[in-house]
Amino acid sequence: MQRPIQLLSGTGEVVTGLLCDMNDRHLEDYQTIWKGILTATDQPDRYWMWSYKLHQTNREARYEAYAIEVDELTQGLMFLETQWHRSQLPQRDPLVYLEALAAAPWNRRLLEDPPYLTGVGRSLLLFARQRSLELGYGGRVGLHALPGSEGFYHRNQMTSYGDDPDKEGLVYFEYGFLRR
Amino acid sequence: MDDQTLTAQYAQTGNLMDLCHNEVWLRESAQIEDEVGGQVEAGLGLKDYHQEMNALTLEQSRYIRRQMKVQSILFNGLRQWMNSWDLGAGFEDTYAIARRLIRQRLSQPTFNQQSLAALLERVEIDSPDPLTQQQVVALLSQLFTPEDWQTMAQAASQSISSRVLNASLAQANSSAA
Repeated sequence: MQRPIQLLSGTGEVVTGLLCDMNDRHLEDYQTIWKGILTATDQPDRYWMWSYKLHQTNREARYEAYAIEVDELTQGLMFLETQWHRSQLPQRDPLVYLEALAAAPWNRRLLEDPPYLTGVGRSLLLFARQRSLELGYGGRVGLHALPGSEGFYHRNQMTSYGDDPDKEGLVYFEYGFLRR
Repeated sequence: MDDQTLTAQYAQTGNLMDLCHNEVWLRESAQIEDEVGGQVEAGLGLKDYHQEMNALTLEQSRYIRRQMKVQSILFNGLRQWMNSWDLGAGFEDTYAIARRLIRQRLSQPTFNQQSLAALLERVEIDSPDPLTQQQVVALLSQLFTPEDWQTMAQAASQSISSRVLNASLAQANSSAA
C-alpha cells in the first residue's frame, strides 16, 4: 500500500509525503536516527519492539504496520491489530486496536520549535479509522495513550474510558461507530 | 476529528484519507499537535521510547535534528542520482543498501570531514541556498569507497537474480499443481 498524503511543515507550507506499508528501511530509520542519540548513550534498545511487530505483520494477517515518509526519512510509525480486540461498550463490537503510534522526535514541539512537520500523528490516527471502515468495523478504533499524550486523543474527540489497570494504568480511548 | 466532517468526507469520496489534501484539515491538525506539544504516542510498547524522548536535552535534540537534515539531503540526492542508473526492479534493494553505507561512512572519522563540515554548516544555519544536486553527488562520490560500490553492485545484481529465480520457482509450482 502506498498513498500520497499532505502534511504541513513547521513553518506552515504544504508538504507531500507517502503513507505506506512499514518495511525494514523504516525500522532502520527508527533505530539509527530516531533513537540514534539514545543508542549512543547506551540507553536500553527498544528496536526489538517494532522489529518484532513487523515480523508479526509478515506472518499474521491480523497485524498491519504503516509508516509515513517525507524527504526520504520515516516521520511516523503505526502498528494495528485488526481481529481480536473488542469495544469497551457492552455490545463488544469488533474494532481496530492501535497497538503503537509514534512520530519522529523532530516532529514533537516539545523538542523542536517549530517542529519539522505537523499532522503526522493525526494522519496515522485518521488512517486507523479508515481501516476500521474498510474492515467493516464502522470506524471503531481503540488505543491506550501514553502519559502526556492523552490531550491529543481528547482533542481528536476520542471517548476516554479511564485508566486501564491491565495496561499499567494507561488511559484507554475509543472511537465509536461513525454514523453515515 | 468530528464525526460530521468524517461522515461528509466518507460520503463524498469513500476515503477519509482524502482529508489529508484539505488545507483546513491540515491547519487544524497543526493546531491540535501544537497544543499538545506534538505528544501523540500510544501503545504500552512505546512507553520507554516516549519517556526517553521527553527526557532528551536540548543538545541531544539538536543533534538528532542535524542528523536528520544531513541524511535527508544526502538520501534525496542519492535517490535522484540513482534514478539515472537505470536499475529497474533492483532499485529499492540497492537504494536501501546505499543508505546503510552512507550512515556507516558518516559515522566514521575517515570521511572527508571538510566536506561534511561544509554540509553541516549549511544545515546549521538553515541556509536558504540549498545544495545543488551536483554538489550532493560530489559529496556522495567522496563518501562511497570502492568496496561500497562493489557492495551496491552486488545488491543490484542479487535483487534482479532473485526475481528471475522466484519467477522460475513460481512457474514450476504452478505446473506441478
